[in-house]
Amino acid sequence: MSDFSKQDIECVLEEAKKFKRFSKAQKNRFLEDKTIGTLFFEPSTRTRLSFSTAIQNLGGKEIGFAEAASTSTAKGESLTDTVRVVEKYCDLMVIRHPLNGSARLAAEVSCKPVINAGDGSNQHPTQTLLDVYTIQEAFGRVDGLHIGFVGDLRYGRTVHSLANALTHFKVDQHFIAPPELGLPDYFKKEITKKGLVKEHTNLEDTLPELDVLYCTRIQKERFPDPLEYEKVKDSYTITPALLGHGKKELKVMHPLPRVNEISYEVDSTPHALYFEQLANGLPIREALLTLLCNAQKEERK
Amino acid sequence: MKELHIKAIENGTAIDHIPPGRALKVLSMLHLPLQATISMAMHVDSRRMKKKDLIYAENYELKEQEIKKIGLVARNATLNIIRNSEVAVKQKITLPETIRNAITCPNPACITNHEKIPSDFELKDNPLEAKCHYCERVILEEKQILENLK
Ligand SMILES: [Zn+2]
Repeated sequence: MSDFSKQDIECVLEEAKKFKRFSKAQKNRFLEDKTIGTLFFEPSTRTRLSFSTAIQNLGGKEIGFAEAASTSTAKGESLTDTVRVVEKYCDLMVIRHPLNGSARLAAEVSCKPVINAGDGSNQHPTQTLLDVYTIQEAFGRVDGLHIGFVGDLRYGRTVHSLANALTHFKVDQHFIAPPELGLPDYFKKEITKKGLVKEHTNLEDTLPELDVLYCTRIQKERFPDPLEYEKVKDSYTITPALLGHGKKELKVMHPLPRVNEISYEVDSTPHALYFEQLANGLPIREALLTLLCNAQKEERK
Repeated sequence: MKELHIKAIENGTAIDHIPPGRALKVLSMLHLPLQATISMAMHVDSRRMKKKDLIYAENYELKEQEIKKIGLVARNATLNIIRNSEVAVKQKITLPETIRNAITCPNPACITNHEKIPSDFELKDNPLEAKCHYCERVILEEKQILENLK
């Protein structure tokens, strides 16, 4: 995600806006004659479905695999070699791989563009782009907003990726977590250099300041002591009563699937933005695929 | 004292102003070939540093990559390339901006620990930090960088 400049982000968001308006018939020639390789070295049904739907909507062909067990990778072929083989048959690759940095390696090896659909706990740029898009769509802007993150800020890749992207905008970022799950030091240092960062432990007290509350899952396994988990778990569960402490326009986001971070009663309130967020995955992926395939065309000219 | 040491070599490399105690680390990291006749001095009195280490590699001129690696563990050391008993090149060794194939990424899930590719780190000084080009893990402690040298 750090490869994206503010301009790049805005370009994808603009394009996504168009794709969101387009009818099916308007979309279906953007990837005509194009073959997209989808290489899923670890299964991820939701991400894969979203990419497959985007490719189909744009009239492209898809080749690839849904899990590494059925491929030569299971027989010990390196990522580098797999990429070199698949790039012969496609115009662009979408890669999901459990190891960190795999997509960057693939992009260096391949002469075709590569979209990172998740590389272990490191980055998930399409999620980040759709998150920024969703914020911009809901507020008409990103600049000037107070955006709060709650949940697992230590290990949560969606948080790091989004927080990094938001440093391109004039936003105040608030990080709310129990001390055990606070931002890692290196990351805190990195984004403090680029933007306004505040850390909190109490969600209720911080809520009135926020325009957006971005929630992520708190995983029980992350706590060395299960009692500690029980202690903090409820203080970070989002309920309509808790949201009563916030602004009327406060929006709640979540990369989904949720476990019990957000109570189901929040769904029907105007605060819930996570279903729109989910739906925005499609136009963002359509925009990315189209932009990257066309960029390649221009380079060839 | 210093003059005497450097002049003792006719051809080769003298690395001066190594922080005291670091010479062994520098040598173990460089894997110099047999062709290089190596001698070193540790905890030598120094006007600039009070104490310093020195390494001489006779009949061997250090390569670019080797100098970069020294920049990682002995910043501010002085490199002297000696030809015919004269100092032909004198250079202060600084921290390189990037270094390939010198640090093992401490992140077990990093692709560089699974594929046969060289690691690649971006380096920053004051305070020292090393960031993996692939998994983006940042190492902040010099101690941790030293522990992960290849
Ligand atoms: Zn790494």
